[in-house]
Amino acid sequence: MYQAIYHLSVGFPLPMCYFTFKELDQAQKKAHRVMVAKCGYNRNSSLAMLFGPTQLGGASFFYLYDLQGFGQISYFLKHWRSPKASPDKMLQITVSWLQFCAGISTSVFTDTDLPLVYLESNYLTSLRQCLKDIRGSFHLLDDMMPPHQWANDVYLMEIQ
Amino acid sequence: MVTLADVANAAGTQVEDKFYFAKRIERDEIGCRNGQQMNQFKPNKKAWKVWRRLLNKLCVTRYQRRLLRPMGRWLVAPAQMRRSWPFWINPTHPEVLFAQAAQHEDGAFTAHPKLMFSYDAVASGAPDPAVFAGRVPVQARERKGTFFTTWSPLAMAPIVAPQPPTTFLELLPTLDQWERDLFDTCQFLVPYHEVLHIVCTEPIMFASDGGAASPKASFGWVLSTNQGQSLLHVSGHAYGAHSNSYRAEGYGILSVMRFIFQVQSFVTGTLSESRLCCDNKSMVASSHEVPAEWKRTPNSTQASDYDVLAEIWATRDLLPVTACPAVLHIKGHQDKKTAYDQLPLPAQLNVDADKLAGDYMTAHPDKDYTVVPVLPTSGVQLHLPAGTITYNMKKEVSMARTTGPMKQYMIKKHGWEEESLEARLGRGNLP
Repeated sequence: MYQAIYHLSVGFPLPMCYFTFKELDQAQKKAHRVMVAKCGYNRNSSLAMLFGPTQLGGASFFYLYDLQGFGQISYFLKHWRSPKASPDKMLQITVSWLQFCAGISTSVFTDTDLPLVYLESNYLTSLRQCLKDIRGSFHLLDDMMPPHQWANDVYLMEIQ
Repeated sequence: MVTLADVANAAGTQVEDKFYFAKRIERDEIGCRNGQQMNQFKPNKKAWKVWRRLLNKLCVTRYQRRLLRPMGRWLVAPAQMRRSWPFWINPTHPEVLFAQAAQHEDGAFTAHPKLMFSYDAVASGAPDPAVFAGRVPVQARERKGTFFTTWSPLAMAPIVAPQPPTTFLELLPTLDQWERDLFDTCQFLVPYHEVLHIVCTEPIMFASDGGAASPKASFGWVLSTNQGQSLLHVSGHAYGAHSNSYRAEGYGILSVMRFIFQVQSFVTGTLSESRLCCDNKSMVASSHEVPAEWKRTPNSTQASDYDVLAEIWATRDLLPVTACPAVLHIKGHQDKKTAYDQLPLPAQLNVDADKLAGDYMTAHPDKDYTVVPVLPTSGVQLHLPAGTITYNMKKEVSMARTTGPMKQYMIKKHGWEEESLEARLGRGNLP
């Protein structure tokens, strides 16, 4: 029931959302304690074990945040890779705008450790945070960085 | 405003007053001419203070606003400049000063040699390359109806087109990294021009094979005539965090396709018909023909090793029908039961290709195979600490966040050292 009903029903809208870990954890906590008990685990079992992967002996319960993060990554990849449809064009425009606003010399999805608190797009910022959490990055063929115009030109946001 | 060029004057020596004091700026003057229009709230006084402090850091003094490090040459053509400039000059003929003239009725721009007429300071649209060729923006000011320049700019950095390569080996260093890696080891067994002659006049046969010994994988392929004369041996690495033989075979087929595509530019006629033998039935089926348009949905891009497959399909689309090789399946490792000499030619070539792939892996033991260069058709790759994820993405992403805490939990619970845990994981020896 956990995988067949709960996972699918709560997971369906999450890829289009941009909740924080804290918000999703609050939403998940109560139901999760009950479901863990019904699945035969002690309610007070370590969370690391409960959410740990089966390969290491974990119980493979999932955080809603991970579900959201995977959905975001998956949506980004599949739409970036099919550049003919309208959602894909919109995505490219949004990423271009995000990179323009970031004003840095690296792609915002490659260097995810750099704090960019001023970014505007909630969805892509949430995706970036998710990549940071899993120590991942996207390498884009066209990273849409505004090019240097002159020799000795510098990005204003990178001036120390 | 993204770079210093967006706030500097045309000479690249000073921050312009209008940007420093936040005077009213026309939309055309800010660095977003190419359709990116700002829409934001008016910054408060604190924000302007931070802005001026930033610009002061770049200037010698806060009063003159002269840049500590003046700009060098222009690196971009007029059409790629983010700002519109009213005055232009050709540095090699400094007596001729150009201004962007008022827009004509037909929408074309012209240039005035004497700068005596009013110009359209808020002109929009990209400059006409023909009018602005060889010219760079210049700082000019008006006095009594005449325009003066105070500084002669540097010419645009010359774009020197390299000599076009005349042979395939000359072409290799000019290719993009991802394509160069497909021909990492390239050995012509007969003179290059003879190979070109043969591929145009005789039916030819390719045999490709890939091998994987986790985490490494490599491919090799052989080009031969139908009479059994070997012409070319190529091998290289098949990148991927958890590469497998399916992906390695895909890299082999992609390498063959790219070879045919590139070699076309060096032959005058058309390439003769060719066959490509591969011992991986699944990869043969996937790469045999491009899927129908209706099957190529966004969800289909999440298939295993989609990046390599998409590149194979894209290359097939670029080839003329006659040059596109027929991809055939043959049974692999037939030399285990039958002596090499008694095998049919495709099986012999398959054995040779398998040996090439194995030799390549042995010869490059320290090579990092985990990071996949972005292939142009897929356009994006997901990198995790283990490397580039090319299949089973859901499992990899979910494990990336939960494995660390689980390992820490096990170390704490059982009192193990980290090395001890890794050793146990390697042996599959967990409690």
